Amino acid sequence: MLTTSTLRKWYWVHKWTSLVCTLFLLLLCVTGLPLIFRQELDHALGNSVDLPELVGAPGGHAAAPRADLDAIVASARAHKPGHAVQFVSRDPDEPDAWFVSLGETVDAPESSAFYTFDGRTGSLVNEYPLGEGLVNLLFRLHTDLFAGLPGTLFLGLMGLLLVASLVSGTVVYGPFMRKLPFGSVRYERSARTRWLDLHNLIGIATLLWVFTVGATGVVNTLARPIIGYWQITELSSMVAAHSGKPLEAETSLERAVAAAREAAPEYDLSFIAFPGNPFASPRHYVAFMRGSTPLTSRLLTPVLIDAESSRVVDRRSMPWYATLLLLSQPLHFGDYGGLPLQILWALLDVLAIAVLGSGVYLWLEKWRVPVETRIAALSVEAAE
Amino acid sequence: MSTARGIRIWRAPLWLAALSAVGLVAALLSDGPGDVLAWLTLAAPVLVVAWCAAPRVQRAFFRPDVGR
Repeated sequence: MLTTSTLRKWYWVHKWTSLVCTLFLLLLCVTGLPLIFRQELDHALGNSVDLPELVGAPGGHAAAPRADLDAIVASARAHKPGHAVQFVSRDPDEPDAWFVSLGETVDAPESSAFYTFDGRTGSLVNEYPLGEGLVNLLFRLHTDLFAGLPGTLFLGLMGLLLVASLVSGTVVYGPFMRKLPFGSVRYERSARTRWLDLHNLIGIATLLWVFTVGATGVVNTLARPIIGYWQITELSSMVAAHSGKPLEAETSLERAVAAAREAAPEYDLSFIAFPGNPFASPRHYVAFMRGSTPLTSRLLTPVLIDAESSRVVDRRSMPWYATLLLLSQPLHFGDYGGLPLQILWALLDVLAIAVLGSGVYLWLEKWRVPVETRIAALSVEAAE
Repeated sequence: MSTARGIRIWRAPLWLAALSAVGLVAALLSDGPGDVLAWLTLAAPVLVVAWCAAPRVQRAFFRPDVGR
């Protein structure tokens, strides 16, 4: 049982953790709402397009022709002279599309172009408008406040405060509900009471979802440190055993992908990093392979491929912290159960906004005590 | 707090948390049936809030003595 003084302490924690993070959480909820439908939004705005229907290719894509990957890479380079291909990636929902990202150099931290190629014809279908437009604005406000890694880590800290606010809010929920049945909203009482009841009802009903999205959001803010740690430990040790002289001969993506698929036939390619990129080594490709079940399709297995011989030289599984990051992504994005799950994500997000808004209202209401009442209280204290 | 009161206060929140947890995990483990289970279970908190927040429901089920 909570004593009055313990309850007061928990309430203090709930009030202050919430107050500090509420403004940023409102920003995250409001920008996150359209980002749930990011792919749909990109399509609607013309940022990305569907692959064209192929005329005269009956029998589905099993019978469709397949373009040479080296020709696709060459075409991407020709469209962005002087820039280097960093990654080639795939989307399980678009099995015929190949995505090519380029940077000013192969190890540049920023992408300079993102192309979609038709894997059946090898033709360039779309260039994604990087770093501009509405989706980019929402994404930056949601992930780093236009402040890079410090901005991301700051939002992670706000997420931690949210978690503390949820825990303390749950503790104080019990005493508030002692005399009320679950779900009561006292509409006949003052606006403040009504909003307190709604705050409690919506807060406790959405608790687990908000906790999950908040905690996985915090893990996502640690993506860069997590990946960086994996690169300097796991990837370096994987590469160190196979280091050799710098590349001399021409490399072939086509042969590298074929080798990765042969070495891991039960997997599908998620993305492949080019030699010289921080996700690979100066003389190796690293193919990140995904599994074929709903769960393992979210996980990655790195396969090290010697770029000169096109031979697979190593294959490892990801450490637990990388797996944690990879599993945090769907649980934060809500992109793993079709459109109905996205809609539920949006509805729950709107409810979270209602909890945040009612919380601010309840705090502001406290200051709306009439001046006369406060003066009266002061004169009572003075008389005592 | 008495046990009976604790059970009364926490029964519905625990049910909603359990349903949400099942939904969040189900869609991750299975496509098709898992997705449908996730839609049904994660709809629970939304529907409960929508139902309870309706003033008509409050008058009829929570405080029939008020306003009569």
